[in-house]
Formats: sequence, structure tokens, C-alpha cells
Amino acid sequence: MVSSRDYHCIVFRAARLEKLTKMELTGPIVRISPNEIHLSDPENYEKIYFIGSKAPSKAGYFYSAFGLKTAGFGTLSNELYRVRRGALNPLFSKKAVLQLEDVVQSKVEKLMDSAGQKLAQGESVDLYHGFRALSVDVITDYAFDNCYNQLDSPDYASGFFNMLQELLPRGWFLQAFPFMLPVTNLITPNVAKSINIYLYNFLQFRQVIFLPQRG
Amino acid sequence: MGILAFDGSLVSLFYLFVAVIAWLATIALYRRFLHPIANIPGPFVASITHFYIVYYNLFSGKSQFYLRVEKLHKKYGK
Repeated sequence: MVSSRDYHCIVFRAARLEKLTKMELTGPIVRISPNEIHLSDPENYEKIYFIGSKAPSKAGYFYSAFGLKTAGFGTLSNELYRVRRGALNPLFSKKAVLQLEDVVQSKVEKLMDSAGQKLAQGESVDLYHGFRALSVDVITDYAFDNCYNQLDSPDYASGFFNMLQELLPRGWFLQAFPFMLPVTNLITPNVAKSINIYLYNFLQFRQVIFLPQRG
Repeated sequence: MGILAFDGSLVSLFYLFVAVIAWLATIALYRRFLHPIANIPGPFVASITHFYIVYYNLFSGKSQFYLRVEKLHKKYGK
């Protein structure tokens, strides 16, 4: 069976693999590309990725496709990542997370209230999008101080998730053809409207999240 | 005419074609037999090109390489 951990394909550069194989990786192991292997046993995850691990830096082709060079997610080098992550550490200390409790609880209550109302009226509750809206609301409230209030929308902002899901193949495409990234950045909202409505929605969304920074 | 000059004749095109094939074949041979992870089992096509993954994520289904990985583990995993 593929466990949820397997989604995080363990990706690293083969040149430094020899160091890794001395870690005694366990379970089935398959070569999935010239430079990548896939490990089935989730136990390996803790062996490779832990605080202070000497595991190789991220594979550029995989992470660069998202166009997030300066974000923690897109930072390739382990050394640079430590610096960037360090700036965020105070926000995720035990104390800070305990203070976050109120934010989480208020959103959970919101979800329970709206679910209860729907059930009382004999309607079904879309928990698939409900739980996602809960995550988005908690994250945007805490990280951006700008809650998207997706829990307030009647369908729990399912359009937002459809948008992300529809645009996922864009990531695969850019992994395969990285030279297209600058080209896709040339697409304006008006052009996007005629190509793909989800892309148009995404560009609108991106404009909105960058607004507070400009002002 | 220098070695690098391309006169557009069929013979030159043929040499160009042969050079490209030889270049790709060299890369494929290296990846399959000499690469540091050459001894790890997996499908032949995947061992020589990334487009094996691209195929399953973009063409044969949407973002479904992970389903393929499960099958690969059944076949090649030990």
C-alpha cells in the first residue's frame, strides 16, 4: 500500500547517494528516474530528514518548477534554508503555537456551527472542502493576518480548491520544460481568460494576495 | 570550409543526425550502466529519462505517477 507519506517522494541527487546508502535504508527501493529513487518504507523518512541531517539539498528541477525561489519551499540549499527557516522559528515555538490555540478553536467552532445548521435543515455537509477551508482559514489568519473566511462561504470555497487542482498539471509541465517558466509569466489576466478560466482565477487571486504588500 | 560549417547538404544532415543519436545513446548508456544508482531496480525507460514520470503525470492521466509508483514497487521492490 502507498501510505500518505509516500506522496512526499523522497527526491535527492544521485551523486551524493552513496553517503545515503550507508544509512541502511529499509524496505523496497525502486529507481524512478535517472537521478531519483523511491522508498516505500516511511521509516526512511525519519532517517534522512531530521534536524541537523546531512542529507543532500533539494533537487532543483523538482522545486524550481513552482517559481518560488525565495520561499522556504523553493529554497534549494540546506544552508540557506536553515537561515530562512530560522527567521520563522519564533512564530512556531511552543509558546506561539499555544497562543494560536484560540485561532484554531474559533475556526473549528465556526465549522461545527455551520455543519450543525446544515444538518438541522436536513442538508448534507461537504466535509471534504470543509476541512480544507478550516486549514486555509487558520493558516491565512495566523500567517498573513488576513483570514480568507472560506468557512463563511456556503460551499466552503470549493472553487478555490478546484482552481488549485486544475492548475496542478502546470507544475508537472514546468518540471518537464523548465525553460517555459519565464514564458508562462508573460501571460496576462486577459490572455488567461481566453486560455483557461482557472488560470485567470489564479492570476486574480495572486494579484489580491500581493495587494497589501504594495500598499 | 571549416569543420563546424553546415552546408545544408543531405550528407551533412546525415552526419548531424548520427551525432545527435550517438550523443543521446551515450547519455542513455551512462545512465543505465555507469550511473551511481545504476544497480537499483526499476523500469528501463525510467532509468534513462525523466519523461517516464512526465508521461504519467501529464499524458496518461492527471498527476497520477504516484499510482504508478505503487505498481513499480510491486514489480521491482524487494
